[in-house]
Amino acid sequence: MLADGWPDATSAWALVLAGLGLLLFRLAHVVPARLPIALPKWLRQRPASEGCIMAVLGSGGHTAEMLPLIDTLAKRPDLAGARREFVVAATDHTSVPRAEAAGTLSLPRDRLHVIPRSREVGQSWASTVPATLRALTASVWPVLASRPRLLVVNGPGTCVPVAAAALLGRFLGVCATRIVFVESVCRVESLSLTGRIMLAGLADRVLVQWPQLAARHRGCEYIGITM
Amino acid sequence: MPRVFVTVGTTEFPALAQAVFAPGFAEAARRQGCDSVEMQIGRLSPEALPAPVREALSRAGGDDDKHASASLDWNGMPLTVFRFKASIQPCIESAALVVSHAGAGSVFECLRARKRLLVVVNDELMDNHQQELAKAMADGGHLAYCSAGDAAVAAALATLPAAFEPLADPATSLSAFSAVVSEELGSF
Repeated sequence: MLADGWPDATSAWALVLAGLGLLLFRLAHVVPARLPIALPKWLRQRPASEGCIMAVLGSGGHTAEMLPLIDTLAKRPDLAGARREFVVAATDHTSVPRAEAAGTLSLPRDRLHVIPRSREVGQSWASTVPATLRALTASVWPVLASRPRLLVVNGPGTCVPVAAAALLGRFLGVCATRIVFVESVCRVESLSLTGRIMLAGLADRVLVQWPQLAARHRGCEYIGITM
Repeated sequence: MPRVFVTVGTTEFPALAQAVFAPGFAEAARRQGCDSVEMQIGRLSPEALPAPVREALSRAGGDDDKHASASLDWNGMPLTVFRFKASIQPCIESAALVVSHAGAGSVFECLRARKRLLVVVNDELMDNHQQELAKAMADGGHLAYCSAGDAAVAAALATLPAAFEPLADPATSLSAFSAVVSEELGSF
């Protein structure tokens, strides 16, 4: 039983502040190391030593650029045995056949998750908000259930809710997914909107294929052309 | 038989097709030592085709079959026209040089096949990052590019350099990507 008059205003405030402090600490524990609020490396959430590799096939050119990245990882002895899970947008009918033809995706060895698309080309920005929320709720389950150790994304917007779900999983302590974003080779002078969102706080690493892009946006790393 | 292969992509790009049908194109192709032209025209509307080309394609079954191809003599040079193919890789492989839309897929397919490449930029596309890519690749000496106009395309084709700078092997970039993944997963 609590004593009369407890909690008084001061201790109530202290509790709220302590709670906020804990949340903030947790956030600093899991956000990308690049961010100013991130804790030093030795205090950050550790990567998982096992788990699947997840990639979002973004459609068209994005998918074409993703395939060699996943093939590269599949050739590594330490990741060759890792299960591969792919996420595609519901409106994208070409990515899966293309990935299968290239030999990168093989069902039923690999798993496929289909999510609603957050934004169709030409859709107005205002109608994007509910669509993005729907895409986010649809992304949470595949990510939290498969708990990937690595998420590779390269745009377009479809990959944003998936990365957000992975970060949520990190915050909740469900997974320790590391998120790597590779900007399209088509972006020479400026980051895509997806790239800017990733750089702002979703992706652990933002890789670009042109040196002038890395020079322009702090936090991007130049790796060269992967195509 | 050195051939020019032209690809407009999967959508329409009437300005590029028009430039190929213009009289100066065959002459420019000849200047490059080519004696035939093959062109993929995508969804180009039949009205945008010159009557003889439209009729030849129609005779070849092009009204129903998107994969039909028609050959005819055009401006004194053999011209083959088709809308789509399962893969245009063989067309690229067998060509002496390629004139392409600025789509990254097509551009890299040509450069990886080590073909001399002229990229024709579609100025009508909004938010034109394709132009950015074409310009950056031209700055690196990997290709030539021009805007879509009959005279511009003919002039750029006629003066296309005999050799370009080969692209660096993507293996280096892919191992840089792999190294980043290693750092992130903590397995050095």
